[in-house]
Amino acid sequence: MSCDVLVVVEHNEGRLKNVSIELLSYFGRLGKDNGVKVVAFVFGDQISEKLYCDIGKLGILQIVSYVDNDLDMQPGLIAGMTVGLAKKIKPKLIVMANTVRSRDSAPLIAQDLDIEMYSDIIDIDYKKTVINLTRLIYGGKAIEKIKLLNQQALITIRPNVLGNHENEAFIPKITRLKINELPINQTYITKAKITKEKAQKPINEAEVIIAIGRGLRRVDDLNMVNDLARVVDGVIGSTRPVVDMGFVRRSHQIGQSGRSVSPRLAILLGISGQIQFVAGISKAKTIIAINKDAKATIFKSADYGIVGDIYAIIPILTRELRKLKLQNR
Amino acid sequence: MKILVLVKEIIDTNSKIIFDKQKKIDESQVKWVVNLYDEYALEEAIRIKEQYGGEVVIYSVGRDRTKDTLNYIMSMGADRAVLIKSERSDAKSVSEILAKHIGERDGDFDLILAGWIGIDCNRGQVPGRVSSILGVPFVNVVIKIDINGQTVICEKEGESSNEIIEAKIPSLITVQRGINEPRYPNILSIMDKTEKKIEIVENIDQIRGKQARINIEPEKDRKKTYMINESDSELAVKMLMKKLIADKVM
Repeated sequence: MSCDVLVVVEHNEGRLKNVSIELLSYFGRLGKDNGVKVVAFVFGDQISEKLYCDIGKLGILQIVSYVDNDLDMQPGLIAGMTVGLAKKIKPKLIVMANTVRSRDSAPLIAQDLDIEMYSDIIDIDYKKTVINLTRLIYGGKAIEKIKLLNQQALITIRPNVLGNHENEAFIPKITRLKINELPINQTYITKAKITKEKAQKPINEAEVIIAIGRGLRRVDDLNMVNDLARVVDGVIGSTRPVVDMGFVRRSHQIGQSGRSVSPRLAILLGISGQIQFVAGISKAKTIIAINKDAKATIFKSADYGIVGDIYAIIPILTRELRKLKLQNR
Repeated sequence: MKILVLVKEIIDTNSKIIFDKQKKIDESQVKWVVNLYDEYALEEAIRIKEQYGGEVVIYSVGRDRTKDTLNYIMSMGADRAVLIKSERSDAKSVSEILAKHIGERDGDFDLILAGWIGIDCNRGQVPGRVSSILGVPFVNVVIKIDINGQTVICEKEGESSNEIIEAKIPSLITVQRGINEPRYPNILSIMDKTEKKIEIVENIDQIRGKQARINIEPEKDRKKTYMINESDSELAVKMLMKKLIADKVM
């Protein structure tokens, strides 16, 4: 088996993550249109026939799987398996999602394979002889354009930037790896997992983000924001001061010292528009900003702006969006 | 305990970034600072040293000017620094240079700490790569470190849950904001440029194989904002909804 692109798949208990659906359907489309040979690598526990079927539906013909319900899937282990597979099938491009999970193992894989890595890619143009990649640097003030010419590389792609592509479904061919075919490289022991409140989608994978700034005065006022988030299926994020006040947990901080996100829609509430924050949100497809200060710099980064008090606007906006949702059902 | 801290000198992303006629960033116009996350790493290293004794050593790959940046951060309380001079700035080369010089000078380290990402280029590669070359465990994005004999217990930030991880010493750990509040450098120490021990090493840069071509361009601005400045909130929201539906956002 040889291939052009190896896609490392992420799933939660057998359900494909959204970002993996994007990656697989994007490269599935390239497979059909340009004859690019794509292999999906899936590993972990609770992998079922349904998962293989779901991958096939995205236009993927070849799957390599490694199923183990007992192993702790830590970075060293994932790296060892992926490197082992990459050495065997020699993909030109190894593609991972730019998630917490992948970013732990990606640099290990790149180094062990002695190749370059480009992380947090926000645009890709894949051609037979050249692959063009785009990423943001210097707090979103500059774009880095990378031209890959026929050399092996690893890339991690930001969630929500490729979109979903409809492809002809395949019944995939599955190669099942056994334990002795993989280097088992467990470098540390995971003693415990501490689950925080209720499991929320990681902020960088959210399609809709409701972000709050210092315009939100009290922690109880989050209830109002939560109502809005529920209506649009959004995840709550915030600026750094709001995290420092303890309203929102740090993993949901957006900005240069937090996460960079690319949701389909971002609604920014009471955010003034510090450049450190804007750096993390600038790649949202659509930005709506609400702030009572007409001169707030956030409006420069927004597509739609309402000058007004968030305490007056949020309940009305929630009501109107709920109405629209019911109509569209 | 011998604790090494990887420090990256970066362009202050708060400063205006100016592109010259060749579309290159005008480096004379920018301010150079220490990557914020590396300050957390250094603070953590100093705290571990204060509790268990030992030595804190900064490692950095940079240019001549990097000496001033290191001089400043050393005043937080590092014992010495090794500045490796190289023209390379890509993650792979920098990692290989760091690992080589660490191996030659301070291969008997107990811990290597670093910020989990550089806020300038947002790559998040060097620590992982260095751990791989040196063959030590890599614990990424950590918000709490406890030393327990010959092991280190870390709380690692995960996706939906945090993890408690036990790794052997030596290990390489990257830190996340929230782990500590870095102290301010000692002013007297900043002014006294004689006492600090910054060893400057010239790296012999190897000729590299085939590399990707990389261009940097200024980011384009967003299209004009559709502004609603209407004192009646009901009306303001109605106007927004109408426009969102017309633009097919909703």
